[in-house]
Amino acid sequence: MADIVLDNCFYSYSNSLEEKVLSGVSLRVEAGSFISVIGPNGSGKSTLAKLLNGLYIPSSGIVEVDGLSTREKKNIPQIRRKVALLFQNPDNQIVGDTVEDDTAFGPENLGLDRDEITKRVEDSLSKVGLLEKRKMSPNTLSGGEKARLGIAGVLALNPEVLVLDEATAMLDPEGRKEVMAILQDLWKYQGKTIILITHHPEETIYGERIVVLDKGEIKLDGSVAEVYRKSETLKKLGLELPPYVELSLLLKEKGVIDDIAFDSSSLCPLLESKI
Amino acid sequence: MIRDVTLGRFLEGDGVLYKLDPRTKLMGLLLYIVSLFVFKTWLGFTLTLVFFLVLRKLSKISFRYMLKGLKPVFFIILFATILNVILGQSDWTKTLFTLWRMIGAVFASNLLTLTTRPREISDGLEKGLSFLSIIHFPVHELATIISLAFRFIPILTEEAGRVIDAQKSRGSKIGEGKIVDKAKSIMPIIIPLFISAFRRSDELALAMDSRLYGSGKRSVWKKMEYSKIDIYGYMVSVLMLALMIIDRCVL
Amino acid sequence: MKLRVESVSYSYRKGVEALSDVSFSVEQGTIYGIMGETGSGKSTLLKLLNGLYTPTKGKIFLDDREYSSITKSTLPFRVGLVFQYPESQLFEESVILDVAFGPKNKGRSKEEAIMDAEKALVTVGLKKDKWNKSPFNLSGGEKRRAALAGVIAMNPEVLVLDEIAAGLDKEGKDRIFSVLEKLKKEGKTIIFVSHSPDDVARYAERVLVLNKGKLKAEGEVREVFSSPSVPKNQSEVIASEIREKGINLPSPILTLEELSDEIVKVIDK
Repeated sequence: MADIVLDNCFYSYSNSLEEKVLSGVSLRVEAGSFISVIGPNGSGKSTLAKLLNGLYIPSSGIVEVDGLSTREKKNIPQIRRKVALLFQNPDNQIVGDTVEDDTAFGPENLGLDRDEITKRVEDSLSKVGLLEKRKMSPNTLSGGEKARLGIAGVLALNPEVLVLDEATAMLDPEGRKEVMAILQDLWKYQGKTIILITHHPEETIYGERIVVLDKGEIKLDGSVAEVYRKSETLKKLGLELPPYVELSLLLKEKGVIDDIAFDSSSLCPLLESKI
Repeated sequence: MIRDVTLGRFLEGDGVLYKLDPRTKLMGLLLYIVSLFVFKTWLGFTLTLVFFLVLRKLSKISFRYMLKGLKPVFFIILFATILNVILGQSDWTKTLFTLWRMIGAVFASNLLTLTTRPREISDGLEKGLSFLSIIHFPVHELATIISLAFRFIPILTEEAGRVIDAQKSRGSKIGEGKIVDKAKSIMPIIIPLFISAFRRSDELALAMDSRLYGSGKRSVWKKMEYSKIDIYGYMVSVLMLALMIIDRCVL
Repeated sequence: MKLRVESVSYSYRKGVEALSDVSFSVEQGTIYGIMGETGSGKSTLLKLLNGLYTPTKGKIFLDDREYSSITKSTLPFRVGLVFQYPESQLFEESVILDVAFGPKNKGRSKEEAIMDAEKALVTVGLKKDKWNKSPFNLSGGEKRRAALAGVIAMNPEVLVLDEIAAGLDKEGKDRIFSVLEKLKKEGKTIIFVSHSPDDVARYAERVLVLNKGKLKAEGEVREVFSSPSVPKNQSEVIASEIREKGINLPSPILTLEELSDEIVKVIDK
């Protein structure tokens, strides 16, 4: 299983060292975990995502997947098989004319034989609930369905890690729900590692750990509860909080409760003790 | 308006033309276009016209749908014809033939794209031109580029429609006034479209890289197989060309 | 400025109505929120209001004058439409020139157009040092506000906005809506469309709910959100979860601030 390790990673687009997009990021992602990455616009989240499968190579520092450094060119195909990346606009990731052709694109690139490709296409499409639409053109799908097709496309590569780079940002609430349900399933029951880059705070609640980026540095890194107990820092960064956390903060200000709650079963006992 | 353009689009359907192998259709199109430029007499004109009408029937695509989608192209053709007349082409038969040659070629190409998925066209091209790879011509890459370009046509026309609507809402007078004004009025549309197209292609490239495109030897999932009707397809196309050569040289 | 929509229908293709038999009227100086899922016809409605589309059936009136009797090219200047992701329409070499594009099309002289643009940029709170920058060098939130300024600069009486907060973080969203609040106080009518019940509950005074092209509910925000058939906003979802645990809270709850106030009231009792 693939652990991902980032050690003191720096990244800048130009050679000028002043404009660092990432400066000194160290992170260890254990296999089978669900990590959300949040941060203001321009904090380097997207760059971080692209370091993970070798699309970008850090200016200095090391990124290793399962002990394979992204710096070695010969490792890249192997790394990309393990770490799949999904982007913001599903339309820009679809290469096939039909749902099934698009899903077959990855396996074709691996040079697999026909039967294996068929198996993988059917498997992946049924995992995201698109099997009955296999013959349809991607242009006829809804936003949520296109995003699910994107997921099927990378699942066909049998990856161990899925990195979603704001992949829910352009979706309507329905579409976001569809995608989150699939991620939950992949994480809990298929043993995939999920790295979710998002600016929808309520999505982070699904995971177990949150990494907060600001100006290319990791500001906070901890369990969901740990990070949201430090909500003041998040507020200062202009980040939105999940509704229960926001409510807890308001109640804390008013002196009603003195802890952060994440759902009704953690909030209500706090309230009942006061009534 | 721009959203109606059907050039390069695929239309779901079940006509006979859909069942032909893409290679047959590509070769057929090539032979038909050559035929169009070879014929010389009224007989040839009539035959190529009838041939097209029969193909249209076989595709089950409504004539109106095709006409509507090709409107912008017709303006260009009409313009070319008028030039033809102005520049001293006095023989109206010849003008008519030239007109038909252009329209016929556009119509036939349109029939191909309407009944063939972009991916099939590119696979067909790749197979058909594979002999060129002996001289290190990047056949596969070319085919992929063509197929991706086709895939993004509907997305970009949709987007163009959106940008036009948006700039209209800011009072932009698109295509009005003198030629200079007209040219200027296009900038608010072209610039956003270019930016978007670049952003899209950047993301597409990253996504394809992530899905291991070009990392090793590729396999092809769907086999292309000739069936019986492809034999008829080739026969009819070759016959057509042969008739037109006779039309030109003998009649 | 009064806007009245009378049994309006619109279809893109024959037989399929994107909007069917919608009627409502809009008062000046009020913020309206139109809520509906993808495909509910809300974007179509906006384009009808701005005159980009003409209703297949029914009529729209602006101050008791029917749209068809108003010169079509002047409509966009009176009912300004801000598209979804409006920053993707920026094209000029500088922010100020881009914002001045609308006023120039309206027929204002170059100097006047620049003045209009400056005023609009102040309204949306874009600092002066950004005015001469290329719009492409702004941050996401700034681009959005520059694009909004481009429509405000045309000084429309009614402003209609499609998913204006989409993709913005909290800060960006708050900024945009405080601009709308400001415009409302100047007497403008604001109509925004959103698929987020939270934004509608939080920022709108009156609400229209569209579903599959039909108007399902219309009225004052509290009234609409107390209807069981209207999608629930987050605060109300949380409130109902708390109610289930036996804590009595009024309904509907529109914002988290309101919810926390109500909880304090219960505890104080």
